Amino acid sequence: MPSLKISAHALHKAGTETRLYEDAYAFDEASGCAAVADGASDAFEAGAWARLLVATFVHAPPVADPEAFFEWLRGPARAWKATLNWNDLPWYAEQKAREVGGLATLLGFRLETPDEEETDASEVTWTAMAVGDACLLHVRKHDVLMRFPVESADAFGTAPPLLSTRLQHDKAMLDSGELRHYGGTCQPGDLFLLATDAMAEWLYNLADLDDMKLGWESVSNLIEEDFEALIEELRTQSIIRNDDVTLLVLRVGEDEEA
Amino acid sequence: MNLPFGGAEEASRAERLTGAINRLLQELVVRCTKSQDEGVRPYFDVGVFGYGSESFGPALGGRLEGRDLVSISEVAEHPLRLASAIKEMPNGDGGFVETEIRFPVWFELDALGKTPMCEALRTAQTILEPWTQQHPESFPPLVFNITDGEATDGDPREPAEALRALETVDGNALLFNVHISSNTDEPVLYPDAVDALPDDFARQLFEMSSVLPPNFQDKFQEEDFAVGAESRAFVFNAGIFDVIQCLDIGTQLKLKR
Repeated sequence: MPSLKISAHALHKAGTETRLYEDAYAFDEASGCAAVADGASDAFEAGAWARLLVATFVHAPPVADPEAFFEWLRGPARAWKATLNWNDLPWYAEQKAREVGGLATLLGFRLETPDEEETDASEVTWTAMAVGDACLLHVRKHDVLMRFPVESADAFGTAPPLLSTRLQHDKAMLDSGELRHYGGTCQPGDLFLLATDAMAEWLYNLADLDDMKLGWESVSNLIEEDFEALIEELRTQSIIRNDDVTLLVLRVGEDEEA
Repeated sequence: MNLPFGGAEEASRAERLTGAINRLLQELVVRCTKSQDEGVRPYFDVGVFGYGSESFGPALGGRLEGRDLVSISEVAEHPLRLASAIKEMPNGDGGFVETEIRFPVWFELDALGKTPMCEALRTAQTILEPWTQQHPESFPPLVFNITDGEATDGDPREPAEALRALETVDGNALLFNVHISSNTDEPVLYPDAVDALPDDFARQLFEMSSVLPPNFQDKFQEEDFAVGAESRAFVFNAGIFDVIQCLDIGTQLKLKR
């Protein structure tokens, strides 16, 4: 299995505090899993919900099938409910917890462990699944091979589907086909960028530039050198929406046994 | 104003009015609740005034009695009382489970009296003018005038115009008029002309109401209301459900995801 090197970058919305950051990310280089989530600020304990979703995804990734995914969701939903001190909640918190609950988008990624007999040293399969507008870009040298699940930059900004701690909401949402999944193959040297919506929108806009002066390698270097400075500059110039931003940069390396 | 009915039915109409206010305050509080450790975020200052049997004035009671504007965080902590009811809630597996629901009451039934609407609008102006000066960057004030009768103290169009002239950098104060009627005319929601309105009182309220700003128009259209560039923030003879819908939509814009 090729190695995966992952770096994580996150910054809370300008004008707020770090504790109000409600995105989340998790990854495990060894198992080839990574996930990002965006807790909705209209919801209740949305940051905790986003953190439980990514942690559970990386620890025990679900199958990309609506029914199996729904069963998988019971775990993090139960864990979220257990974080609340129900007996001590004031009336408004109890009502918000019960009627709205946590809401978040989720994008999960994994490299498939190759079948021993069919191992092709040059290519390996990846899969991704998503609910909402956290996105993945698959980059090879100067080309963006895949964007998922949002199709184009102008599709950001509308109300995305959200995973809820209220399972009856999730059942209806999953039944209407909001769980998206995709798979492909990748090679050593490829990059995957996993981002929550504001960051993803900026990356989509970069990918749309006809004459992108910076290559993707330079972009990822810029990100990894000083993410905070980059985001602050983009915010100052109103190039990126002021929102929590989260980005995982996944670099596909050579097969570790090669 | 001659009411076509009185007694129990009038009481029921007053209950619908107080129920609407309590539901609105509850909705605002819950919307500003984000976590279990933090309390309610002070996103709004709220004032509730009543056309009561005695006189027009601040209508919140208990520890909030006599206050003009109160932070939504304080509103959350000081209802008059918490009532409770048993409600069937989804259990997540397609079934239901009986759950005790607590709901707050801030505002109780008061006898319906006169409607000094000019005084009400001027009071709103007196309170909101310094507020807009102190909060020039904030979303402009939203004023809901919920009434079941005509002004009993003169022509309210002039004080309404002065109130709508208050502004912050985000625009002018918005005056919503909500008419809870006692007649059986067809409801009219966010009309854009006086033609559809049945009487002078409705036409007067129409003229007092703000034109819906573009961001409100977009939101209302998303909710499948037929609104256009000239639609007014006015609901005529609408049931209580329409009123809450109107109030909810009107306050949702502040808090985007």
